[in-house]
Amino acid sequence: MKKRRFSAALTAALAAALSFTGMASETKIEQSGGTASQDVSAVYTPVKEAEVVYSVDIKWGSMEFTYTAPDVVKTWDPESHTYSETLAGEGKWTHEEKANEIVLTNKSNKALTAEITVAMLQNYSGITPELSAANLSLKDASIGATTSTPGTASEASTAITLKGALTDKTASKTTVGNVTVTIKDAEEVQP
Amino acid sequence: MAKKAKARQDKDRKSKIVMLVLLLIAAAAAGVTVWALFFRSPAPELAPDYAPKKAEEYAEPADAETEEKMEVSEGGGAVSMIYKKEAAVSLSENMVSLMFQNPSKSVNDIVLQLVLAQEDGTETVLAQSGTLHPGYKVEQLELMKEAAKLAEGTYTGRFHVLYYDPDTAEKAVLDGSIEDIRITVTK
Repeated sequence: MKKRRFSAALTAALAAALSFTGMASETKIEQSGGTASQDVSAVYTPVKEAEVVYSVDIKWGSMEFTYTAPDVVKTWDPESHTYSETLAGEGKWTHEEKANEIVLTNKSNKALTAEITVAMLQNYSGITPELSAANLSLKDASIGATTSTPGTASEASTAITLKGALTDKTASKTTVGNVTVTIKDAEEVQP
Repeated sequence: MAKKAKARQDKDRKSKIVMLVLLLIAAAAAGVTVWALFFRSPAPELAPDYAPKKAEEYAEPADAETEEKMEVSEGGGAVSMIYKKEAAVSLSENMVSLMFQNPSKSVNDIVLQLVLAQEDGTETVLAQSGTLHPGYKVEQLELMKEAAKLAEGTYTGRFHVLYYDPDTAEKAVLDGSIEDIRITVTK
């Protein structure tokens, strides 16, 4: 009786073992003591890239410039009995501290560039604007950032100076030109 | 005698018809005048020198909390801008969906234009906001008439951002241009 029970239990155990093996592998074991193998495959789905959030700050000064005309030196000509006038040096453009500055801050998770252009109005085309930097590079603020470590906002600035003479003697807080800040994505550098 | 009476009757009828036509024309002219004076919504002035008195109709509060204002030198300006570089034009709804925010830390008011850059170099303003005060964002704008000419498809445009003094409403000497806005047009 004991033998019969033992053989029945052994048969059941073998049958169960074979069925588990069959589930794990599609390859068949053709003979007793044979082996079977099956590759285990895995697919990696990368984490979706974070959406670009554009956030840019712009600060600018009053952009008010004062033109001081050169001194006019009058000279008496005793032969012709007339005065002649000559300019002593050149006119001078001045401004308050930081009045001519433009500062950009990039807090985007994207590198940006900013192009600064100054267009003088037609009546003031004799005045030439000059920029300390016409193109500004602003780094991606997310560089080095993780969920616990913050990135760093990138800042860049430029300053405008004027050259040439203001011929409009009645000018008083008169607009002589306009400034445009053009913001673009920085070109991706291929590794 | 009878002929004379009939001729007079005909003349009177003609006069009445002429009077009626003239009255109708006068009524139509009066109607058009009333509509033009009180009901017509004129096209907004593009890139106005002064900020529109009316705040943008579709502006919504942007920040949960008010941020400290940015530092600004005397006579200057300061703005912070948060935006997405995409815009979806729906011709049937006559609206454009976009995202542009003038956070509360900004000092200046903003007027936003969505401008379509065409291949021949010409530009068309598809939408222009009213005044967007600091602390407000806009997620939809009404299209301008010119947008109706667009065909379905994808275009490239730009945001033209005009800044205004919050006290005087005067346009700042500086403006912004955000390039490469992807504009998708659907019916």
